[in-house]
Amino acid sequence: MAEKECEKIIDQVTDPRNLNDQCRQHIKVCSECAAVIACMVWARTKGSPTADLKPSQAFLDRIDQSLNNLPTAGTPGISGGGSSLLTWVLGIAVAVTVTFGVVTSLNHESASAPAVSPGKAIPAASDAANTAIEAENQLLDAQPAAPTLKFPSPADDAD
Amino acid sequence: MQNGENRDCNALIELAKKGQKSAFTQLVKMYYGTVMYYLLGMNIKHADAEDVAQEAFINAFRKIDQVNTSGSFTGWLLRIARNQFIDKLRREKKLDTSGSQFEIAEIPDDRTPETHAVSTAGVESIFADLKPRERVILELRVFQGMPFCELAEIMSMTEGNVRLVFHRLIAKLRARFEEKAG
Repeated sequence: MAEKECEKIIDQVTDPRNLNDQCRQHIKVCSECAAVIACMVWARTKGSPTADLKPSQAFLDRIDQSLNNLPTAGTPGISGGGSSLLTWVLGIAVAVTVTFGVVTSLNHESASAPAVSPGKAIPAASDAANTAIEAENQLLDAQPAAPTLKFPSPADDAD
Repeated sequence: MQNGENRDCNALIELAKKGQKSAFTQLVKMYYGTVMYYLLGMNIKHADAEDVAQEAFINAFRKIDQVNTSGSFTGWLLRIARNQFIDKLRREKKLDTSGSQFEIAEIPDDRTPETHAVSTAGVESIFADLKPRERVILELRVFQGMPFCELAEIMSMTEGNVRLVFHRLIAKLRARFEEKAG
């Protein structure tokens, strides 16, 4: 049998799934192929040609460390530390909303309540509201006054 | 890899998919040599190859759900290692990405002192003076029965070239076998 055909047989023989009757018959009569098969059987008994390289303990430790740092769940970032951050943000948002609501309602109450005469005792509940109003007034005072017209009004020339 | 080992490998992959890191560590031990020789075959230093191998294994664990046990785990793992190596070259700007497709086969195949030292470490071994790339081809073809077309894709070679390298390799082994037997 020609050399090329022997190569084909060897290609098939290296993958046992392809070993058919034709290959077996050929190996029986072809000493070249039989020698190659014997060589490969011998090579297999020697073990894998890549098995002599083994990972060092330091390498395995680094892999272990990296694997332990990976999230086990399929949602990286949102579990663990991520959820506690979300809780904090939601908590702060709720606190701000509640405070704003309380201040607004107290403002409404104080606006509708009768004026407190000086020297009269102020109820403790309205202290906070008064403080808020005072602060608001101070802010308004701090703002510049409304702009005044710098040119004469047309009504001035009418006379 | 023999059939028994294949079954073990599939069982380990299934355990790793369930999050068992110890099972994945076993896979690392089983495939370390193949991945390292594959990377050393790309003519990089041993220390660099270890860094790339480490990143490749970690990436493989992240993507372990994508492994199909009916396919070749080694092929999948080596593709990850190759991509990791290409990323490393890009990071270090050693790869010109402006040109056509990257061909690993174009990298010169001269052995570095490191790979030479690794190859000659086991003088008794019949594989002692084989190049890293030859070892990987032998492992994938003879021990794992990988088809030539897949082997060619993984090694970034044409199918014809892989067959040629394989037959030269067989001839080399045969000479050694007859020398030992005679």
